[in-house]
Amino acid sequence: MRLFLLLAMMLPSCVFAPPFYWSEAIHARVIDAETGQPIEGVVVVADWKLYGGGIGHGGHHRALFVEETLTDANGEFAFGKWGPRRRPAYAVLDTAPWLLLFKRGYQHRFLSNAADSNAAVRRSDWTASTVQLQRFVGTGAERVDALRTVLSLSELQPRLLNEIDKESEFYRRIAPAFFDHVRHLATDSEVHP
Amino acid sequence: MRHLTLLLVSSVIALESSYAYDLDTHWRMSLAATESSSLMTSVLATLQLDKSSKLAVDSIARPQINDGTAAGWIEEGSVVEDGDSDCDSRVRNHFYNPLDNAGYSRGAIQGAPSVDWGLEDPGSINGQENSYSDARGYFWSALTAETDAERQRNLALTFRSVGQVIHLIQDAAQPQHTRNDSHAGLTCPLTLGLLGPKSLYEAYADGLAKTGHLGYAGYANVSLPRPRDYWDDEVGRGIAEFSNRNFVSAGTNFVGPPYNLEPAPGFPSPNGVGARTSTVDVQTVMPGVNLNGTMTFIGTPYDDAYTMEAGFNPRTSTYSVFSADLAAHGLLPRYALNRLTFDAALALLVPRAVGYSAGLIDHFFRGTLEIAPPDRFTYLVAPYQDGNGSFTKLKVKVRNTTPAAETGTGTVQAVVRYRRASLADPLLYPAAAGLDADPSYAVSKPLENVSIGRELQPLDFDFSESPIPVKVGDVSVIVSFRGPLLGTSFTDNDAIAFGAKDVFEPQLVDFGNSTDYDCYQGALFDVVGATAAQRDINRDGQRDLFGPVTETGAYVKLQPSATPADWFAPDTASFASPGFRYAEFARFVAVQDQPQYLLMTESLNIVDDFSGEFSQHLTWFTIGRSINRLVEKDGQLVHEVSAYSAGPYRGTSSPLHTDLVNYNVYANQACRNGIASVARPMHEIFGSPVGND
Repeated sequence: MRLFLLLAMMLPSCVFAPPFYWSEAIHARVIDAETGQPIEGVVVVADWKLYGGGIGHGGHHRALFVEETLTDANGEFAFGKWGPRRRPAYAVLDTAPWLLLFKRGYQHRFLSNAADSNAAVRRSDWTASTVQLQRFVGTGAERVDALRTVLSLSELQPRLLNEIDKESEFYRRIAPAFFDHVRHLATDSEVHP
Repeated sequence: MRHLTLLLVSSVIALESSYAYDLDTHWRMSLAATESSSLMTSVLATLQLDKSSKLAVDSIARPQINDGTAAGWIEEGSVVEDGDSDCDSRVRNHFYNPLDNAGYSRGAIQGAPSVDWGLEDPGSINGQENSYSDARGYFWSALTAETDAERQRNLALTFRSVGQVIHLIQDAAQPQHTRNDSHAGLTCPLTLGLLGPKSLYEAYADGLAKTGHLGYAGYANVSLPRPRDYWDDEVGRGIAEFSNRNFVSAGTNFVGPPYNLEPAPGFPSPNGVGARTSTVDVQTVMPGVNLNGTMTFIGTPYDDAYTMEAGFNPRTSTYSVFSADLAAHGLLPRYALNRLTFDAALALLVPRAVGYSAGLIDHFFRGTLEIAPPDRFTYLVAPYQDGNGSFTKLKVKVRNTTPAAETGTGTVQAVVRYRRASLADPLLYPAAAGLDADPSYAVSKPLENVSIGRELQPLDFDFSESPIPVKVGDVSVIVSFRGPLLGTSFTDNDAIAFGAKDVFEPQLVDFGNSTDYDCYQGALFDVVGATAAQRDINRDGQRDLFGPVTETGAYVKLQPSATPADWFAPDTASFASPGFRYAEFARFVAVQDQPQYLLMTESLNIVDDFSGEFSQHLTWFTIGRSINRLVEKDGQLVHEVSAYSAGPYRGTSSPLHTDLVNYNVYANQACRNGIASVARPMHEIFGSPVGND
């Protein structure tokens, strides 16, 4: 009995991880933190990032699925439900979906679920919520650093790349290689939404 | 209170697990390390790159973090070291216990010690292609590459591999990696969960990295004699030793009662010596949460054997949520870690991970050479015959400038980097040359069994198998040494030292004999075959026209402008012609590194064809350097030109032409101007560089 209990404790998220995933629809609203007004044109990336465990330690390597959208005039955005999608053999969704929100001139937000979940049907903790974005205040170097982080936080998405590229107007002199790279990625025909 | 404590800690753990340890912690630490290392300053400059220069962009695997710059490649390396697959086996080699020099060990599953995996200094390890040793091989290949594509590819691999090595340094600053504490997560079916739960410490760190709240600064770049020392040395200065002896981990926390704390089995430190507990109000450490109660932390002293500083970590561990229940039943308490202990650990460990990473980058690129001009002043000299020429010999002086290390006997090789011109001859019309965006490289034969001392020593490099065309711009010289570097307490048997010199561009010099014309009252007269009567123009019985003369041996010497002009021995000349009759000239091309220099021409045996009079001649001019290069500004290549353009001279065309002329020509402006367009064309004869043998 003790052996059975031990195995039962170890196996759930390994052998019993769901073979398929579905996602519920996601919708939320984005407002300016100071004015409370809705922000139109915020790029929102939803990233169902997979966690893969290796021998010794693990980490997030790739996404099961990614899509992006823009907020409308009311600051609202939505992603439709999807599924089923087959779970890769050696990876699971843990805190996915991750949401990345970015608009020129604002600080980005990175929103993941609060807890690990082994659920086959994925939902975002942030659905039906109102998310505040704050205006960016800082130096050019700090802004470029923040843009590097934004680029790093998800799989490449055309609208996100274009939104980052817009800031080259102000900061290109600080990091020309970075903005050249962003523009190259944005125009790369291999990148599709 | 017991239930309250349980609720509180559960909440803490749930919040932490909203993040997961993946790319961002390593990426951010590597970014900080790269920016504080010497790479961004002296190393890139020596490699003739800058922070914006891009390398092998078609090979980028992680475009989210790698923009193709040197820093981008290091950052990509620091991320891809964890592998590309979801269950990559290479991560088993990311552990190192400095107490027994062992790697990961969990039953039958073993990994190589991360220091061995990262350095491959005991020998090659199957599946490892991006170790410190591999990086050195890539770097040497880059320094001696014959094509720009090959150079870029190998530089990218160098930087990427260095990034993969510092990933291991960063892992060694994570106590779970130095205390054999598995934290794979439960996602790999083959492991049946035996390889440990997901690391909350790493997850928490990654969350901070993603939101810009992880602190990286505060620990100076580390400098240690050997790469291995960055993990583990004889006196405890390695980062693996620091994290192993000063911190507990989820699976190797304290045991025993609070009044008699004992270390985790197999890990003698930290232990109860000097430990103190502190109980704090929840509202103090987590203001604003809807909870009341206390938390008890265990603090322990720590020591840093590198800085020789000691301190006290007040939050090494905490009482677990079960401690109160266990105590109530007379059982020993359990200890746990939470975000507050993680904060305390990260504040000590992350800046050190950055400082050790930056130090290892500096160590990798620490070998430096200084390049200076040779005794003959010119680095490269070549004849220019029938409109063509190539340099086959490079002369330089070199000395070792590596801090605290002498070179042993090794291989030295030189590379000349240049840009070809596609539109016009850069020797004649530099502004219209149209330099190629991609540089070209010529590689010398290696010099074997050479050591490079602290004093400048002459070295001659043979480029006969890889000649350098003279019609090029943007020239620079790179000299590299591969062999032992000997410190006072160590020997690195396979190290690289390198240096570069951005020299000025090749300059074409014509020199010859124009004594076939002489000048009388502002008019030029052809004196070839002239009779005595024809030479007495005003019929006063005095000879008015002289020449031509024949020179047996004519020499040109280039030297620093500060050195006074003086007669020189022919064997110290830069270029020699066997001699000139009238209307003959020779041409050569030279490369030097001074903004201005002196050009001296000398003929020691001059005989007047008509009178048989003997004379000698020395003259000199100050010449300005030639700049014709592409410079990266704001990521764009900009053509920078400051050089002489060619002008016509007796059927020839050259930017610099110095001829022996009769005195009357020299003294009269009209004749001096007119001799360039006299009817008789110059005839080219061939000379040769002096000292190129």
